[in-house]
Amino acid sequence: MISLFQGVSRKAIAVAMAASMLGFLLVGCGGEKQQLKIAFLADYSGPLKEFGPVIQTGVELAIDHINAAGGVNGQDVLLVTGDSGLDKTKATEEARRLIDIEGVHGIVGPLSSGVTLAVSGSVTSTSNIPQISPSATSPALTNADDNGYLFRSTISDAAQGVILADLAKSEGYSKAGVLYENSPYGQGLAEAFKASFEANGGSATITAYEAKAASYLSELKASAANGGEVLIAAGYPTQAAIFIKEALENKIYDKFLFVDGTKSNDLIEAVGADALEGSKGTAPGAGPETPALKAWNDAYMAKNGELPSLPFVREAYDATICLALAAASSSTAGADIAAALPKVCGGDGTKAIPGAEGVKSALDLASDGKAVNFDGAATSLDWNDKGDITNGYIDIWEYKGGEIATLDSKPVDLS
Amino acid sequence: MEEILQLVVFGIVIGSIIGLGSMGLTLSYGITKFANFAHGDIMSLAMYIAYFIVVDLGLMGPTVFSLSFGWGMFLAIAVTIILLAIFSIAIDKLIYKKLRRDKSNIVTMAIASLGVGIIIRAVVTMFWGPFARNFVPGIHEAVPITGNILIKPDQIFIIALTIVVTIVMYYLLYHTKLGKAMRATADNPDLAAVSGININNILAYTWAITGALTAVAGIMLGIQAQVYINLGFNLLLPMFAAVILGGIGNPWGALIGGFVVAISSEVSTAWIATGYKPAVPFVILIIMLIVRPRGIFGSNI
Repeated sequence: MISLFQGVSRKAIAVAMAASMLGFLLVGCGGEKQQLKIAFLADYSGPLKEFGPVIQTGVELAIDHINAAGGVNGQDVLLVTGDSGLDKTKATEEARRLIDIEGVHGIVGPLSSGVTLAVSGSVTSTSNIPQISPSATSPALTNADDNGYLFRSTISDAAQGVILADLAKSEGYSKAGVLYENSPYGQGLAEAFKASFEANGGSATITAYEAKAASYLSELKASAANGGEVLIAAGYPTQAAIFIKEALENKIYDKFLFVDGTKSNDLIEAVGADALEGSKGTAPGAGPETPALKAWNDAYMAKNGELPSLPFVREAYDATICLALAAASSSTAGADIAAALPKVCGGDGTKAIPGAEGVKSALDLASDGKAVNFDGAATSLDWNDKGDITNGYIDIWEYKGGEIATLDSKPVDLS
Repeated sequence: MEEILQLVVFGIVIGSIIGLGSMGLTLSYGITKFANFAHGDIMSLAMYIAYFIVVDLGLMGPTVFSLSFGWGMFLAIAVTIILLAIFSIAIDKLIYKKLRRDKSNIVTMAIASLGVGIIIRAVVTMFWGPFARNFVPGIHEAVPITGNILIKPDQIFIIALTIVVTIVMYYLLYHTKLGKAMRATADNPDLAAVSGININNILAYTWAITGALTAVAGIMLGIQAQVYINLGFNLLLPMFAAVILGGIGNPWGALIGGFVVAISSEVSTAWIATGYKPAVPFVILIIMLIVRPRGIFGSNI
């Protein structure tokens, strides 16, 4: 620091600092018709690094559609990216940078539930910047202390918990043991399942495991202590490959139900197709092909040549469009966008769907101050007052003949 | 009671792995005086060398004694012991020797070992990918010992192998000249040197024995759980706990420490929530450090 500024007089530094502070002040009162800047904060490094660039294609498609329709406030919408690296410290620093230095008006991201909660708690909720995660599914987001600035464009795992409980009941189980990974994802899913299963007269023993162990036998024993007839594997394949084997080998369980995290071909390979044959599971699904989904698929195909290989690309598109619509209908101030979000994507307004034309009609209506109800590619984007999507679909699938087969898709309503 | 006994059995199996791993860790500490953070990753490397021999080279052979694996695994253990003994000496000559010559402090040495660990993990991932594998996929049922207490044949093998290795180690340390020299060097290197012991040779032998113990512990871990690059590093913390519990530098203490760590965490699940299981050995460690700061058996071999 000292050596860096040795040649520069203190006066010059003081002037520069004063000028930059003045600059911040000017940005602060820059009026409400300024250019909209949206940030995409996601994983470009770390364990989820394959997701960042792919999900970004959804955001970019949305920006294309918005700008082709004339942008917001008569100017093109700008996209800025930040890297969260599945690291809470890094992600909050990036969010700070995006807001304080880049001056973004809304954030799409981050991807994981834990990081999303960290960014919301320490940055966006206090900076009054709306934040929409396309992929954070933990029920822990629902009641997070977010000051009304945290939204998500995917459905909460509470929905999967409800369908999983229905599935366990319809399979004839009344006592279930749940082994869940000790993370917001695993715990949220396990608790949602337990609440729903016990409301329907079942009993569930939920047991946490740490992902680093060489054996999960004592956790399995603890989960089966109350006579569990079926094991719900609420975690990830690497660990499930160990504990499903151990459960069978030590005759603790011989029936299993799975979730999206343990829907895995690696698991079939490790445990063997015979052992898993007929076991069912749940996972968030797309539901029937709506006009909105079809329009989006067509637009994405036209731009990228193929449909995305990873999930949450549609959710990211939906989130970006909603931020733009909300800003167009009110102003670029964070509080206005957050307040307008549920109105432009839900409610009784004129329906609009994805695609260049759909987005143009939605933007025109929103800019004119008219009511619009944008239906997303992934969900219908009806938000409740906690920033949760209320309607979606959960798939039921089965391990069958060494493969994964989807059996059914059930609508859920969390409102 | 049966439930508790079953948990003790699980603990003995995991304790065998942590115990042998800790023995290697504490031996190398006794002579080099730094905490070897690469130890866990060398355990993982052992799994992959064995995996290469039995699966990639297809040398597993038909299964024996109701185990899940064949004679190939015994061959793999022997070959891995030799390879890792050489590997451990080579790493010492290549990296730690230079640092010792430059009179680096123990923190520098420990950080260097962390770097060695990261390199090993990256290289293994380059060749075998980041996904978990199994020596033998599929289900291998457990058999009753008495009543409802179950154990897998593979786990009996793990315990038996631990007993054999412990006997060999005992003979080596207490009934050979080398063992005497190693103990003398660990106790006081300067005094050992003036007594005519070649410290450099002792160092090489110690690394070789450490490598051999790591090879056995790593392959046992692979048999018990799966072949997965992060497993060894994940066990590092419990192994350090075992080393400190047993008295740093004391191989028997480390072995017993390993059993204390594993059995206490397994048995604790009968009363407390499983999420706290990894914390139990550390609570014991804290209490022991207050009561007996030099470990259960003190810090001498």
